[in-house]
Amino acid sequence: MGSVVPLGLVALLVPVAGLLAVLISLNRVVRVPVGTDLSALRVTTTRLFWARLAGLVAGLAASGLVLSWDGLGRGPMLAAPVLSIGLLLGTLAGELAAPRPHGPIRGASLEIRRARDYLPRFSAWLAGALSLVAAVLLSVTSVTASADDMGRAGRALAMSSPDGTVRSVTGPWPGWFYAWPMLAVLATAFLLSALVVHRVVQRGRPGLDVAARAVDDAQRAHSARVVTAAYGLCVALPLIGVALVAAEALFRHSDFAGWVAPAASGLLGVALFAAGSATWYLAELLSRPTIRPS
Amino acid sequence: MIEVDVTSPSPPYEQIRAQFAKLIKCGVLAVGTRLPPVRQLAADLGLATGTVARAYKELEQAGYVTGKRGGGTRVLPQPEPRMARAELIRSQARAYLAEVIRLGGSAEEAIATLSEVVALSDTAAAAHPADPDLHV
Repeated sequence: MGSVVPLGLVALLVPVAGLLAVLISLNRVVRVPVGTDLSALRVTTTRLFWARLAGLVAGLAASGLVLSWDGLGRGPMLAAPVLSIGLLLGTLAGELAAPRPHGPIRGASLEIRRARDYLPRFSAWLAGALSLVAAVLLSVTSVTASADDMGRAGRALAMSSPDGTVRSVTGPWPGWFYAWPMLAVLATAFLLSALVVHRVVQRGRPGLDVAARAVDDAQRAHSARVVTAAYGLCVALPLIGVALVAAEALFRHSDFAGWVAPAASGLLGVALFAAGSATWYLAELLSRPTIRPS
Repeated sequence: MIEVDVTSPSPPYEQIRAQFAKLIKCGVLAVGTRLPPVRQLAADLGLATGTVARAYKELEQAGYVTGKRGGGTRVLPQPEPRMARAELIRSQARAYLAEVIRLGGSAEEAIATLSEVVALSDTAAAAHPADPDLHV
């Protein structure tokens, strides 16, 4: 399914995401006073980076394997979510590997850390909207799907002309055949994201001064941003494919009813929305905050 | 700020309980203030969750806080007159001075040592300059 995504679109969106990432990074500078001791945070930074990289490599390997699954389009549809899950697992491993407070005297502030303190508001909202759109779209396509010529349930769209004389069956159609693996992967990714964010918030923070705490907060916020971006890509990329495939199938039936062509155009809008979201999440993933002494 | 000395003969849960009790008594933690979640405080101090949970339970039994499922642990109004923060600092200073005198020192020496410690902590902060560019 994902193979129908035009390569030209991808070639355009990746440089846009790169440019956006540079702009975001330039705006995410944490200034700390000269003399701030950041040695305690350096180990965490290194471990988080390498664990995320390892997760990305493992995700790439797994998505390579998934890509060739079944030959009916489910492999390409699940490749991006599998890659995202690899990144989420890497982030979780990094968070778990962060050093625990040690030493004979340990301090803690009386603050209360909450997930909403670190989650990027817009990206989280966008991920919620994408999930809702994906769930609604897959529910509708599942309900309207029929079996294909090989008898595989939920893989084709069958429509009859208004007078009932002509019946056409076209596929692929993102019915239950495609919906269940996608929804299962999305549910897994969502639960994993929630687990990683919980760990980001609850990870121990040794007694730090105000400036070092600001850096630690930036580190946690970046982790939460990576989680949101990974989940967002997990939903947005397959949604592009699902919307395009459904739109293509509807356009083939545009003579059967008046609502078909507008519905297909609406699906193209969904694909565009998902592509824009994927670009934003890719930019979020590539951006990194910088700490500068002031 | 809560500090725990794991080498102290006093168990960590007792240190946590005593510090919270003092903060509540002198009004640093006002009525209704929410205490950090048990898991978070345990993670920040590098202690077992049960250690912090025991401290909270004892605070609850002593009537300092109330714990509700989903609502966190919150500070309760205290019947006894509130100990002034300034009075608490004064009592800590008195304890420090008594310790210096017990070791054969004088009040002047106690003040000089305190100034020296403050100057040293300032120097230590300046000796660890932040990285020019640290990516997180």
